[in-house]
Amino acid sequence: MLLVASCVFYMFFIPSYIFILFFLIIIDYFAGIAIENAEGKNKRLFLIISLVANLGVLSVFKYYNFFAGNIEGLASLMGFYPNIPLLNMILPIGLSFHTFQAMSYTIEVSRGKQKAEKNILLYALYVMFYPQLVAGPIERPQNLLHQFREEHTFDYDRIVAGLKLMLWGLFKKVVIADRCGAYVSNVFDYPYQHQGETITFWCGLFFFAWQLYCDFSGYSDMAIGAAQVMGIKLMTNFKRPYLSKSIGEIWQRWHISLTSWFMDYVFRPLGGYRKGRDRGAINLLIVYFLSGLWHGAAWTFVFCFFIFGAQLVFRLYFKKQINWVFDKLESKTSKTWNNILHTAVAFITICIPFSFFRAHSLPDALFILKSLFNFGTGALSIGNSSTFIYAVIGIFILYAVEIYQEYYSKSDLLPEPKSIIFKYAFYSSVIVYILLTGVFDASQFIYFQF
Amino acid sequence: MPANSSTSNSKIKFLKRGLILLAVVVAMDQLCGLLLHQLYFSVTSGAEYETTYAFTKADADIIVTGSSKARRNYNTPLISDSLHISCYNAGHDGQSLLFSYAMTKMLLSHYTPKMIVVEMFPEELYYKEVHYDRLNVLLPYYNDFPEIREIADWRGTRNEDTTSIAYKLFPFNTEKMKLLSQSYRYNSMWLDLLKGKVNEQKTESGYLPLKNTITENKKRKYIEEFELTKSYEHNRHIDPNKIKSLTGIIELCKQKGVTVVLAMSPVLKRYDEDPVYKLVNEISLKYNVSFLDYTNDERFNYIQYFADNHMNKIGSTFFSSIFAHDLKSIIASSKN
Repeated sequence: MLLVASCVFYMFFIPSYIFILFFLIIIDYFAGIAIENAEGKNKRLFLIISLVANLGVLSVFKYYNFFAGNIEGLASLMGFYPNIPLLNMILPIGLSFHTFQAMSYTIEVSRGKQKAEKNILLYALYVMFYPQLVAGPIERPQNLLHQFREEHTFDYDRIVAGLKLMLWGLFKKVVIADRCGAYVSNVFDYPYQHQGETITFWCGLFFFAWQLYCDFSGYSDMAIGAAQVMGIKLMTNFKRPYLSKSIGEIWQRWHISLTSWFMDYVFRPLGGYRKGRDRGAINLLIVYFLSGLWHGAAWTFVFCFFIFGAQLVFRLYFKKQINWVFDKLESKTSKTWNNILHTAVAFITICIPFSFFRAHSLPDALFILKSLFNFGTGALSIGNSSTFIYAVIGIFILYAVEIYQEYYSKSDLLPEPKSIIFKYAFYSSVIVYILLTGVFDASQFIYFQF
Repeated sequence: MPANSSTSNSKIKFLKRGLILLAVVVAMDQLCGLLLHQLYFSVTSGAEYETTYAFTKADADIIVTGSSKARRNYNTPLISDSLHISCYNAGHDGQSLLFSYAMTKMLLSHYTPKMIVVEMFPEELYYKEVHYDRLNVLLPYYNDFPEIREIADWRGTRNEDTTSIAYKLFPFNTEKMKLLSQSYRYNSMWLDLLKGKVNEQKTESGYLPLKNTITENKKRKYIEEFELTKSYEHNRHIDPNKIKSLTGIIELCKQKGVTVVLAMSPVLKRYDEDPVYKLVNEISLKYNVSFLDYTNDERFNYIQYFADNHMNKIGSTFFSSIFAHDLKSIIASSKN
């Protein structure tokens, strides 16, 4: 049933693309069995076949035009003008997510940490499980596959918790992310109209950071909640990253399933920090470069993530100096102030590269970056001031809820009253507030494009 | 057996609590919708008030409909003085022909003006997602004014590919489903309604002029950005609903004997070869209605007339005097 539902769900977008999924499922299914049965070099050979198939499909659909365009550009600089034909295809939805999930299966089988799945339908469900098919979390076979075999009984608490998580995810998406998105579009779609408006650019950048987080974590919450209702426990993908006290901590809490994928399958195999700080720094830059490329076939993404990597490398080399600066700024008495200071600095630091993530092109991104530091004027609210106020109210609620979750409840759910009557009133108010303030106009999840 | 019985109890508890929650949500939604309905129809200024006024009370001889371009560029008191007949500006910020169609339906349902001026942007007939989003201003009228329901429902079918599996499985108009909620009709409005209560913004017969003047540098940037934005728009196509709206306005007016004038007021960015001109011209010839195009008129090609892509007070006053003069001859010829 779940597999059929997953197929129908996927076919809502472009039905014929399901054959790409079937192709990869068949290859990886047989590769998994072959890897398990093979010895030595053959094991590696079958793993390579699986990786080439997944990365091949990803390259053709996602990166072919990007590389072709870059080769043409490079050749023209040298006086050659090749006319490389471009592919006129829409990227299959969630391709980067399910290919990475499929690759984690064959890699884990080759490492002996996961038994090859003999039931092709169960393996297909592992790749296609619809709550997380198009935008993650990118699961690991050890966590997910065995759950499909287990019997799932009706568990009131589990189901209600799943539904509550879905509601909070929906709130983050339609009340905060899409509302911030309206402001962000005004700034970043028309950056040159805001020339000299430093405050507007900073505000747009902060709003984009909240939009991106609430959009993606909102989807993740809904996916995790929906799976929980069905009795499947998916991994946590976000742990309130904007409450982190350093940029390193942010990346441990942001898109955890992708970060841990790169850590497990790229960073550590490259040697991690084991071969010294310099090699560790290079490995870090490689991982963030690849992470940028994973996000999109455009230099804006690559630059954005390369800067994230560079920030971490900077922190690696200058940790003492950074700590010295914080020591000077920190209050000797107020721990809360120190926490706010660290959190704010970490947030602003990761916001700056987001200008590359959101910009339409590299020149636009550089213009935005320049505008952030030209000390001009500008206004907080542009266009309809209500958009700004609705967004600010949403962000205020987000922080209030996350601070409660982080420091008091240690849960991902909304803080709720104890009395059953107040609970009804509380959740009804949340639903009505979503109806009153949510943005319901055909906007997609940002991460669906990846 | 005890496990089965406990599961079954859990299911009953879930169902019972789910139904109670649903009942509370429905009650709260209805109550909230009712309060906002009262608030919406009691405000005495702001865009919401202007729309209600135009929909239910406007009685001017000439009505100008359209977007913010209509609202900023048509100095209706001046047009009224020049022609010695009343004129009201029913332009609404951010709207398009879709809204003008709803406006025409509503106007003609309560009285018959002498003339309706349909202001259009040169890009007007192209499909734009945002023009459907902004039709949310019609939702507070959905219950009481059946005339606008067809247009409001377009919000739910705009992107529908009726051949897709999704549509075959769930052939729903999503907007109709959302409209089951009373609160949804006032989505994203409560703040503006409160502002309308507190901060009174009065217009002169619907005309809301802009005071600032654009600089050469800003004009250049604006045009560059406009071209850039256009290049991001894939699959640019003429929107059949907008054609339906335009022809619908003309046909409704013809039935009631109302003169229709299609107009494109001056714009900052020149549009020389856009196929929309040809299309609007063909429609105007087919239905024998006037089409006044000032978009490439050299008389208005000065930045001191513009605030942004809209004219400022100086520009709109100058334009309106010329427009009133042109209307005079249309009124004269319609009398003959």
